[in-house]
Amino acid sequence: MSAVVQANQLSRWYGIVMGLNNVSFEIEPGLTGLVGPNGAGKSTLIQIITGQLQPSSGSLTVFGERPWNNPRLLRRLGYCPEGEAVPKELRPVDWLRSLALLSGIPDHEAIGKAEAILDRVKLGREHWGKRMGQYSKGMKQRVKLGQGLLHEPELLVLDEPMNGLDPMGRQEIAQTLKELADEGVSILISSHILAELEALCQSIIVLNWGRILASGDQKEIRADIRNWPEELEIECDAPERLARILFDAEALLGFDIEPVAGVLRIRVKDAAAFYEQWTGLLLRSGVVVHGIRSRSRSLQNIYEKVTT
Amino acid sequence: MSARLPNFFNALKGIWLLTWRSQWTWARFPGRFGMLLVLPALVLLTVVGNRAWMRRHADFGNPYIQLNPFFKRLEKWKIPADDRQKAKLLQIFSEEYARSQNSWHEVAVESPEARKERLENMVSACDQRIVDRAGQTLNEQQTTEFQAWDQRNRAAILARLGATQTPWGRTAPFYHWLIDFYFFIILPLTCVRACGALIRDELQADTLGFLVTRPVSRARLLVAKYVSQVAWLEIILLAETLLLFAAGVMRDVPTLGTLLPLFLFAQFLAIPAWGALGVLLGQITSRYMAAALIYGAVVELGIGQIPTNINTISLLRHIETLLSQNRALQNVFSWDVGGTATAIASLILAPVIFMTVAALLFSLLEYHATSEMQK
Repeated sequence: MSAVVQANQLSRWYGIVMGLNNVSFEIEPGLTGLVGPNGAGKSTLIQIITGQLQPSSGSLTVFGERPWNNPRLLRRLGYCPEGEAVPKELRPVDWLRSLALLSGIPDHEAIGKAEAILDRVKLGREHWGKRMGQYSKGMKQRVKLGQGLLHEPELLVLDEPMNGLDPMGRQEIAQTLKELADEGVSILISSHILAELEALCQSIIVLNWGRILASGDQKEIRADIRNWPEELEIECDAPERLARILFDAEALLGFDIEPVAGVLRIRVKDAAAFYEQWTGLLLRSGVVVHGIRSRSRSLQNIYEKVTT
Repeated sequence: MSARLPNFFNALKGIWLLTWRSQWTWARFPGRFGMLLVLPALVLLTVVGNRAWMRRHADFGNPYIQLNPFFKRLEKWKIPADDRQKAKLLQIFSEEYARSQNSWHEVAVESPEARKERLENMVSACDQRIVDRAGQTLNEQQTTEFQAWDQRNRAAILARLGATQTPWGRTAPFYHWLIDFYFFIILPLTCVRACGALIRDELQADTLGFLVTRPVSRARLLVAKYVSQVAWLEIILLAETLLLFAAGVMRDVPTLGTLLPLFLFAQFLAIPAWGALGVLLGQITSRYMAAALIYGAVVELGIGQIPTNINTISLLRHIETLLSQNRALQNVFSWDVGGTATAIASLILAPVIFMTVAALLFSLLEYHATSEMQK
């Protein structure tokens, strides 16, 4: 199956600030999650994919074409931006009708299309007569999602679409997205909350500081991380002393100390070898340990690990 | 897939609905109409009507009051005027005063000496007609007495009219409001402000993404927004112009009927030109109003006033050329004008050039909220 999106050594700067740093990846058809903390470069990547920004270097193609100022390609893309910005004075049907006309839908079909879309995103008809400035965040998200679906895109790009939605709303939007995916629409959905994407997407791209830290099938990422350093969190009365002893014994890949909280976080390459030495080293240090935790290998923790 | 690439008119309709659908509401009408009334109200307050002006500036006075001492003088000299003579004299004075007053017009740019000379000529001509007609009504003795009295009366009228002169004419303030203030300041700034904000306001509201991700080329999107904005401005400013002219009619400004079509034509051409300049400045900088003021100072007030061919880059100059076809305006402003065809061609060409460059910039450059925030 050919990739929907292909990026090759893609970089993007804003002046001296790096938005994306030499990333290469492919997005296959289906539901793909783009995850990373705020400022990771998700929105930059999405804006390049949707033709709002141009790469500073490298290339990115969608369906084999460059997106910048490419109406033929944009006809195949739907986009739902981040944030709450919608025209406050307009009613949703009027707004969607205007955007439908701009999307190439004939005028006589535009209103019917707008109404069908509002039904699809489950915006209650009792709200259609209100101006969007009166809408809750969740209602705005639904209309925003709807405008991205107007021209029946083949790739739908959603920037933090779950923001502001209550659990029920998230469930409903997730269901709509699954239905769209079942109909053959490829969806790229970004979030800074991995849990939102974990149940929805088979593929994940983890982004931070403009770099891709992990990408691919969720299962592959899970398998891959067995080779990643394990992290332990040790609560003790003298984290600095313990860190020095463990470091001298060359048992660590790295560590962080929170002296006030009395926490030492260590990263070890070979957990089994570490535990063999652990008891002896601890006794030699004389440090009193109050607790020790191994960070589990859930996707959430992997995300936290790679993005911190 | 039911969607096709939208043609320009569908895109334009989409932009029009998106931008103005919410503006056509009864709730907004009083506010908008109130704004439109501000300038006409200022015109009404500051332009004097014909009757009031005549009272102050060209009123020969009340013939009955002026003639009364003369009739008493005739009685004193035992040559009294009978009722028929009194009525006839009153009629002659009233008719000739009215004829002179109605023929009087103020010239905006006129030295006090020249105005005084015109006044003297008018009063003398009026007086000569009165003397000629009065001679047919009065007998010889009365006529001799009348000529002596009439000289004093004429001097009194001249003294009064000369003392109340003002450095401006009655209608000149209207034309200065209309041209100097409205057409040369308010209209260009309104157009630049409205059209400069086409993309910048979308950026600030964070709604540009909804538009530039539609299957419309960026150039076509910008042109559709421009045309939509210009159409709106044409409607609003047409209403403002009609209100201004209505204020002029209420203040008895003459020959406005001949000026209106020419003025509307000039406005019809000026709005797209200033609007396109606004779009271009809006593409170049987020401080497009400051840029517009600099442009105005350098190009319109600076280069535009240099008496060589380089002044053809001034839009105001071409607009002046068009408007100078009206005699009343030319009397007031005495513009140094060029060819009308060149002026019209320039006013049509200017928006084409400005929009071509603006569309090119919008097609090549990114406009995103991040860069807007950095500015």
